[in-house]
Amino acid sequence: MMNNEITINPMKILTSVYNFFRPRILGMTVAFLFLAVLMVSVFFTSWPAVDQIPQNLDDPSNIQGIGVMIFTDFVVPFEILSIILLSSLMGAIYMAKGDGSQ
Amino acid sequence: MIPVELYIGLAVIIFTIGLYGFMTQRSGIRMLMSVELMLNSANLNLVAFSSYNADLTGQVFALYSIALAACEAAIGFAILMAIFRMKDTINLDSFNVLRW
Repeated sequence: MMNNEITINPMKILTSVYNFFRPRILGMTVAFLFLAVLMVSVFFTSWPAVDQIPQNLDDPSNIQGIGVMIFTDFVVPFEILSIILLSSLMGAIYMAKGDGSQ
Repeated sequence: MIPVELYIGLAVIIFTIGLYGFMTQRSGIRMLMSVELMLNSANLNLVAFSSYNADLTGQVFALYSIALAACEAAIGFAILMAIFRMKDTINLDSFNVLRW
C-alpha cells in the first residue's frame, strides 16, 4: 500500500508564496498606497450632505424626475450621447468586420 | 442612515481593485473588465452624492456614464477582435509597436 502521507514542507510553502507574490508585489504596493491615500482623504473630509434623505412616500422612486431632467435640462448631452453611441457602434462593426476576406 | 463616507469608501475599494487589475493583468479582456470596475465606482459616487444632496443631476449623469461605458466596451472588444485576428493573441504585452 502506498504511503502517501502529506508532508508539510515549510520551505516549499514559503517558496510558493514567494513565487505568487513576486510578480505582483509592485502592483499591490501601488494599489495599497493609492487605497490608503484615498481612504484617509475620504474619511477625514466633511462631505456636504443632507441629514435625512427626503422620501416621497407615495412614489419612492425618482425615475420620473430623472426622465424629466433628461428631456429638459440635459437634452443636449442626450443628443450628443445618441451621436456618440451611433458612431461607436459603426466603428465597432467596421473594426470587427475585418477586411472582407471571410 | 448610512453616512456618505461608507459609500465613497466602497467606491474607493472598487476603484482600487480595478486599478490593481488594470496594472497587473495583461490580458485584454481582463483589462477591459478592470476599466469597467473603475467606471462603476465613479457611478457609485455620482449616485451617492446625488441621493445625499437631494439633487437628481448625479443620477442623470450616472445614466450617461453607463452609456459611455457601453460605447467604450464595444470599441474595446472590437479592437481586441482586430488585434486577435492579426496576431492570434490578446496579450497586450506583445503589442508594443504602433504600426505594422
